[in-house]
Amino acid sequence: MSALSFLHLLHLADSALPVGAAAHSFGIESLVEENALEVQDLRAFFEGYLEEAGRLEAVFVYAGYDASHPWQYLNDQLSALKTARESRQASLRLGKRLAALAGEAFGISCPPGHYPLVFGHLGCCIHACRDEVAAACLHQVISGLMSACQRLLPLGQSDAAALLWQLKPVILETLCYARSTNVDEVCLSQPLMDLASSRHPDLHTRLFIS
Amino acid sequence: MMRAQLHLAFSVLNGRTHLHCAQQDPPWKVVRAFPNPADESLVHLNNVSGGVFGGDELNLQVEVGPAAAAQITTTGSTRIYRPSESSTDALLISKIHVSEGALLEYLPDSIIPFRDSRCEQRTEVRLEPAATLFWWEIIAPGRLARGESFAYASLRTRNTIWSQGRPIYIDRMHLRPQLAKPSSLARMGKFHYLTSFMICRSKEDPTTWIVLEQMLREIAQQRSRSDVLWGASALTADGVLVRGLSQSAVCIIEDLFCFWNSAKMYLCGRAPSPPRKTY
Repeated sequence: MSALSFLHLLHLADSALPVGAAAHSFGIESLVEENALEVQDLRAFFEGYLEEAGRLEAVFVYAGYDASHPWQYLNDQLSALKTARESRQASLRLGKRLAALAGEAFGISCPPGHYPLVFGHLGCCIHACRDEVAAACLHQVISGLMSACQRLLPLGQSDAAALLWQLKPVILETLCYARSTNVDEVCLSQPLMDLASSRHPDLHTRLFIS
Repeated sequence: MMRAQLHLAFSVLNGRTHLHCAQQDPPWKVVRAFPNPADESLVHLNNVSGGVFGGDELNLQVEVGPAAAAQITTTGSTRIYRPSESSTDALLISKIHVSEGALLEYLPDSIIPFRDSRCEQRTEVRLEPAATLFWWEIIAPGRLARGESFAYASLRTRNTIWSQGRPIYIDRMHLRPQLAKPSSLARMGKFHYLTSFMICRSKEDPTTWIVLEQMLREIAQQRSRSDVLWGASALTADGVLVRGLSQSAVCIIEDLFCFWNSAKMYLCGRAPSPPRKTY
């Protein structure tokens, strides 16, 4: 990967990229609100999250990078797999914004779609390496969720940074699985997260859209 | 080790839905169809072997013809027995086609995977325009009364609902409790039973699902307690998923009836007729 591709990838994976990711918790807000998730649970939670949702996201980043199937097919698959409406719509909304930003600000054309697919597609367009693109996307997702946890829980910046540091090997393990898994095979066993997402609209006060 | 087929076809004749059982291999057993009070054709699926063994492959094929109305249930839970080491995973394969304007209510009892069992369930439902589906599924953690919880080796589900050729629901889970803790908050947390209730109608106006989701979310809030959580969410198109996690099986059916009643009243304009059996 060239130095320029590396810098472009850093830019895409920056948590401050203006696509609106900071407004979403993907169900974590409900988990916290219903007293299921506390600071001491976070490490185990994120490890489990990477083994489930992380694998799914990574498989679709690879699919977007490789253009392994028609774009519509990939988006239909991911929409059907994401059964919780808010999380599904968040993924589509972020993907749409990222594609629009890429077109307007970076001059890279990309069709709208789910976030991991758009990220993968853009990663290919900037000539970044496949594995690094998937790793960067997962890192960005986990960073975003960690940031949500900081707003929802008594989690300090140093502790959040340490946790994110500790999760990097788990991100790489997630990629090992995703690299060899087809979009028609990938599994997702996270009913509590889906349930939390579907219960999110009924929270009394909400900091996040999802 | 058994390979068995059960082919059921429902069609309308003289204004009533009739069952034709084209193939029925043991251990499957269907005695006859009963018309329920709503004139839907009710069928009880019976597995006379009492459960599913390692290496078994049970195939169910259901064809619901145009405008037919069918209700399918089981006579008891599907017990997945511990296989011998050399056995392949037990396979439960269902292919269901619901034709234009038809109704299918597929309401099986729970799946109970015994200690060390290995099972894969593949269910594919295809909906034609205006076809309506009510399908629930309950996965138990094992034989809780024996203190057996998440002692199975592997449970894989590959369930897909297609609406006019497009997937609207894919449930592809792989639970391996010895390798990946179900008690992780990223999976099932403190809960043991997983219930999914899919309510779909092909080619329905999208606003239908927004309204129905709201209705079912209100019920979900009312029926949730410290030991059971319910939620409802519109699918990507043509349906709503009601999902529940609970620590016991006690209230699952009662709660499901509540969701079913509201959804059927809203979509079909009539209350459901619960299957003729004791829960």
